[in-house]
Amino acid sequence: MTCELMARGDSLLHKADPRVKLICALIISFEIVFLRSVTALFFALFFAILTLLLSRLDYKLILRRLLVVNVFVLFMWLLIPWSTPGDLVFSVGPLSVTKEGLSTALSITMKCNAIVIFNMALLSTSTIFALAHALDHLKVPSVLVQLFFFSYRYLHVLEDEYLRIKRAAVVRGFRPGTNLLTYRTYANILGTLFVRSYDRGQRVYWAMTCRGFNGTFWLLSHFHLQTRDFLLMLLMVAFVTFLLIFEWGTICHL
Amino acid sequence: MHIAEGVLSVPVLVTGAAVTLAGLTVGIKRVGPEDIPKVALLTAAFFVASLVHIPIGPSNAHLVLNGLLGIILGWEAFPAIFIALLLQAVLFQFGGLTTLGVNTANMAVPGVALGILAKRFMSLKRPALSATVAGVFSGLSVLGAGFLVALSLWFSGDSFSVVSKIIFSAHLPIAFVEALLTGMVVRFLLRVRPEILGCSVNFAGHSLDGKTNLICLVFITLFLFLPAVSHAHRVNVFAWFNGEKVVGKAYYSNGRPAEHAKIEIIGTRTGSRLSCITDEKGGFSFKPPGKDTYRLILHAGQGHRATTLVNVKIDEQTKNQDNSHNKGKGLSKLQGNGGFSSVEGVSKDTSSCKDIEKAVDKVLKVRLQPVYKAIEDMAISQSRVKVKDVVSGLGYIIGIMGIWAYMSSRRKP
Repeated sequence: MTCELMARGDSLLHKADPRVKLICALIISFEIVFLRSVTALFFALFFAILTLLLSRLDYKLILRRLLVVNVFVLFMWLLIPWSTPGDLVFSVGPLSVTKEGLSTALSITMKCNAIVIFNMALLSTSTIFALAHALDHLKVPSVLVQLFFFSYRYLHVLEDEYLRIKRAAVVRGFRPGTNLLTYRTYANILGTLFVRSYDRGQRVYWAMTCRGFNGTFWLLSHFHLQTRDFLLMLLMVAFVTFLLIFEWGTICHL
Repeated sequence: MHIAEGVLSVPVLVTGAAVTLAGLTVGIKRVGPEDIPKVALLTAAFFVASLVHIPIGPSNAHLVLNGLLGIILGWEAFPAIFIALLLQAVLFQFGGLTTLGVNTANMAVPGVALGILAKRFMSLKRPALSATVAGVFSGLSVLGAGFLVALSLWFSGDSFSVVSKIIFSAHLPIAFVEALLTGMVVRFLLRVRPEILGCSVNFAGHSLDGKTNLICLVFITLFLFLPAVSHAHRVNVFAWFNGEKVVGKAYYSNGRPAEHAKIEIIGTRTGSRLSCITDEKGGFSFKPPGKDTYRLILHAGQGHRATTLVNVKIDEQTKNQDNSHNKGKGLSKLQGNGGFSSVEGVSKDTSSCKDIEKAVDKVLKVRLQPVYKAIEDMAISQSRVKVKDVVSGLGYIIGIMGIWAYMSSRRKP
């Protein structure tokens, strides 16, 4: 499992305050969900790509992630055009493709891609720890922030643990297949994983108690807004306003 | 399992977010400082476990594990699932910020409800029963999650009727494998570390207060009625030709009329097209332009569609009615000639015959109304979903499982 690949880099977006990026991502994602006009969606996608260019991420990585998302979109394209009631456009055999179906599929494609691209540019350019830090500053309940922080802290530890157990099984001749033996082996592997993570959690808690942990999540450094953060905010506010104008304009003319 | 961004409608997103917020509030309150590392590590373990691909036949599936998470963590599974989904959104762009609420609610609600209930049965004294209950309940919580995913799609618009059905069906094999695997994991945990499941050597079983029991029972009942609910929205249309007009009725399979639904009418031979709209009682009528077999297509919204065929033979129908009135009035001279000879009678005394015809037509229409009504009611009651349909559906599933078990036992040497 390779994580945080997109958090590497030193572009404007990588250096920006994660609090600003989190809030911008939240607002713009919800705005895109609300959009109905195709023009506004087209511009949303355009703005998303502009923001992504700012992040200067590796395009191969971006395309790989987008490919995964668009497999789902393709699944929608296979089903929605003919399963939506509406005006007939053309029919293939017993399936009649409707205008409403095509426009729904198109809007899903644009919304999905625009939001995912914005998320890549704004969220995935921060490390998880920076995001946890930002969440704590944004007054998200401390328990939730700590769970987020510790889950990610131990994610790779437990993945190594899992791979070690699995390797031990493979060394002893385990070959997965559709049979009860495979299922029982997987169940034992997962059970072992849970037992080990439970025990490790206990040990981590004891170690933390020794060091005076009482449930408070201490932050030693604090964020300071800088010129680039204000620039980013300005850009995002401009995007949000433009999209609102396009949406409002199209809906009123209709 | 995940619903991607930009698919769901805003009301569905808001509802999901509200449910998740409520669940998170309850869940977070139960996490004390001493639980934080434990819950976090189990969240990470479940995140890793859900990346494991289990082979099913030629394909493979990844586990959902919301049921097992509910059994082990109870209410704390809500924040755990939320965190896991947030991590997936940021790290892999699976799902995102807007759908985080809906996705969490879809997985956590059945997981937590069934998990808390299943935890009652966890006992060192009866490991086989514990494992079976855990397996069945975790299978049900995957099905519940699949149902909620389908429901969120279905509520988001007419376009998703087919998509939601396919997504729900895709959860059936996963639920089966998940049930099998969770049962085995619980068996393992009972042997190795029973305190994870909340039972220790001298304290067998887990007691809960009556209120929690009641809530869980309500959830279980809801899940058991899912098949009935999913059937309840089939729509039917029923129509007949009464001599001059085609009249009919549109209704859902639970007997509720389909009101203000559009009906498309296509003549199969002539290709003529008409349309009409049903009234409050689901009734409709239209005058057919000529002799033909008409295909009626009912569009009742949410992608519900039903079709029926009506045969319109204008000439014969009126003649038959003439014939019956002749018989009824005892015009014996026409009786011997049989069905279609009433034209002769008309030609003999045109004026009086036409009057009688008109009057009888009127009377017949009134008299035959109850008969039509009875036929219509019969058709409605026949198409209503019965308990036996639900039971037979379950039997079907068990049957498939039986065939699978037989095949897999034969394959072994």
